[in-house]
Amino acid sequence: MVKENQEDDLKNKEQEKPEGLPEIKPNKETSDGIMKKGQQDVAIIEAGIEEEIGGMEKTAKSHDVNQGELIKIREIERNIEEGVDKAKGNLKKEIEPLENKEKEHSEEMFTGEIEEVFNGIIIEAENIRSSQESLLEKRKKIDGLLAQMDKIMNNERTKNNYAKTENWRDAGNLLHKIRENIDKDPDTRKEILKELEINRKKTGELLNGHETEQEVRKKMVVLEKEKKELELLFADLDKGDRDREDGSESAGKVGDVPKNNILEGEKSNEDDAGSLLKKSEEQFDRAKKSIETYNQTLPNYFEKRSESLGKIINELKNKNADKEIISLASKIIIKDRKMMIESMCRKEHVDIYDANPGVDNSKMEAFDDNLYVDYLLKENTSESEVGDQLKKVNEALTAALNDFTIDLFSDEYVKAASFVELARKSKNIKERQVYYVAATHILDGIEKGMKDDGVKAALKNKGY
Amino acid sequence: MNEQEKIKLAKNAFQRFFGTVTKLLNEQRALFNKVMDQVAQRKITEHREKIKDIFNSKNNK
Repeated sequence: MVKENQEDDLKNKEQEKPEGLPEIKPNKETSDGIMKKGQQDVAIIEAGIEEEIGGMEKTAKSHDVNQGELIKIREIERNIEEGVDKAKGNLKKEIEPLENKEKEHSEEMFTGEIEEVFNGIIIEAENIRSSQESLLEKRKKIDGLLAQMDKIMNNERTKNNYAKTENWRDAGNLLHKIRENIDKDPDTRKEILKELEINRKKTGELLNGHETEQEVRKKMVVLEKEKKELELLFADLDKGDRDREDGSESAGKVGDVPKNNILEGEKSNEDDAGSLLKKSEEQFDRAKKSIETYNQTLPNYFEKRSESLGKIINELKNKNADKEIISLASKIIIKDRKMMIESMCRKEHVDIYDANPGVDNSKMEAFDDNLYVDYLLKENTSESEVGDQLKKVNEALTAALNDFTIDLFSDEYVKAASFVELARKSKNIKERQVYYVAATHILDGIEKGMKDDGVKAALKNKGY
Repeated sequence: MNEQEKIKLAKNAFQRFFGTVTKLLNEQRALFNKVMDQVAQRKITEHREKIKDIFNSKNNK
């Protein structure tokens, strides 16, 4: 029905044409026509693909995907872009020889043939104007026709020939008029703005992702350097872990400090008890001071270090570094967090249990009051009950961490995981309780803070 | 090369292009849908685990 109307419109328009223009000839199938139509269709398909990629991005964002999933989605988008580029490359190779011959032909074009070409353009422009297509599509097609005209115009021989006719001017004027009117339309303006936005984003991505070879090389060098640094840090942390497992952490990490030296001093200076005592006391004071400083500064140190590593990770992610490097950096952060929490817990543990159990709330700054209350409530929980709880929380968190499906950069999850790990390793029931309470407390906080309608809807669909 | 041959070659070239792009899009759409299914499944699992933990935790209080 629409087609019939279009045909009627075209007939009417043909009848309205001013005198002097040659009669419009019906379109016949030519290689030129097929190429033109094909290229227009390619442009339309490309626009559709851009829109689809934008849709994928939007869907992903609205579903709050995590880093791992986002990487997969970006890979799909890249596959599409690269696949289309490759297909376009193949198409170009196939049609270029045909286009070249067409150019040769156009160079030989005479006035009569040029008239025919521009009549064809006029018909097409009218078809576009009266079609039911979207305004954006109309604009694209008109631009295509203008580009086609420019191409013909650039050929000197053709220019000389068709300068003698008025048809090219008619065709050009018509195209510009249609384009101008389309651009004035508010809806089209919106569509054009949308298109501009897509192009802007695409350009931004190109700038970020397709640097010159020299720039890429520079970044590779930086990345390589960062990777080495991260590996060194990782090795350092591994060594720290091993040292602690060997029991050499008794004086903390600073603790190359003096406990053993004191003992050695005692052995080697048995005859001078007074001098030894004084020396030992001095050493002990220095060690104590070091440990205090260590306890005070360590959380800040790790906080800062985690922050700077976090920045490096973001940089790596921005540069599309490979997963292994990001994972390595993530592990370092988790280890840092673990050490920080361990240090804090060790201090709290001493304050709570060894010195004055549960009395001095001011010493609970590292945790919070609720945690302390929770601890008191749970004080009578049996070891097996705590063990069961720990197992469940631990399984959930370990599975999530191993699977890379949670946001590794979420401090809360890392903290909870660290507590669970500490609790699992601890042989002291009370200590395990504190760690366990800390983990569940954090998980409760995450649960309360969860505001994901998508999840709620999905749960509802599954009958929860 | 005569006009008929050019028409045939041009048609084939564009048909191949559209065929390749359609196939590519279908494949990538399927992959995208798979990722989004995994996202939904992951969220459900996480949520379920959290609910279980909280439920168990409350039961033990």
